[in-house]
Amino acid sequence: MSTREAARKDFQLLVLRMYCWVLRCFPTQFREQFGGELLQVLSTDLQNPRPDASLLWRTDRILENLADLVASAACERVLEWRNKMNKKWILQILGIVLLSFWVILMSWGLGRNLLHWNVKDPYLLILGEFQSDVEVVFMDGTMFFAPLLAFVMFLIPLFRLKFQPGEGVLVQVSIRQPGRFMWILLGVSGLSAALWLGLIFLARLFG
Amino acid sequence: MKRRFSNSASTPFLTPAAFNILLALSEEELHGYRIMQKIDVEHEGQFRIGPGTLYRTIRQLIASGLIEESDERPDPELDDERRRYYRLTSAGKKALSAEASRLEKLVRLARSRQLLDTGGGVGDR
Repeated sequence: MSTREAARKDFQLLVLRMYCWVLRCFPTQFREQFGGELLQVLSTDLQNPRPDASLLWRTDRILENLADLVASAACERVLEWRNKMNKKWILQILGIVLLSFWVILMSWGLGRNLLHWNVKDPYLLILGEFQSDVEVVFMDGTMFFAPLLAFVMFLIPLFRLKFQPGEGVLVQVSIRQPGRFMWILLGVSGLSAALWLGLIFLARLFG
Repeated sequence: MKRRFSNSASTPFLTPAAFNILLALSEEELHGYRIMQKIDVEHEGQFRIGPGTLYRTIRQLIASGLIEESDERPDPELDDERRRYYRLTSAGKKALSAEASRLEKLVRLARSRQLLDTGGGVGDR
């Protein structure tokens, strides 16, 4: 084998490795179903360029294939995520949004009042100069109950209700084992709710 | 899995990739690389489907029942055993034909607005 031929083989091997690496970004199910075939197509495409193909054309084809693989992997991931999403997840996402909103506003307010950050009042920024009573009550309520509400939103999907019709309807309640991510969400929201409401209770108690 | 393409002929829209794959499979059963090559040749190198898009679309078309994996191999001795061949289903033929009719109507509309030569084909300049 000539030096040029060996260099070409090495280059092809390197490109194939890159293809393999990108293929790992696809969801497992897709990889199991089409991964082998996809790699074979890529390998055939790499080894059988057009007879008149220039070096620039070959490089362009490799980059085009890589870009297509990356875009396809991203689309497949999004699709996988969408398929996994259900109503329970929507509740959890709402909980995350609510908790994040509360954390941002709390740190903003604490930074402004305790650390004397030179930032605008968050209520002024969100509600504007002229605030109606309803708006202020809504914001106060959100700030007061947000961690507790988020905790409940994370907790609800863990319960499973099963109705058994018959003589006197029987309702069976079971609790699903939360995953690691859910444990973290429950922990953060539960702890925040306990600390926040406890602090308010103590403040009211001691004037 | 959520269906991307409907197998009913009343739903006309197929993506360009899906339409070209169905068109390539309308004559014969083909494996992935041959589908890619055929599309490349039919478009004279002006439209190409990348391998990732090809298999994503194949997966969606199988899920929609427009194509299926073929058990038969056209020439097993000449071919790699690992390759899978795909063929059009009857629902796929209907969807392809409906989409082709839709495109034909659009071409006729374009021609009536003098965007194309009156006598020539779609690709004529």
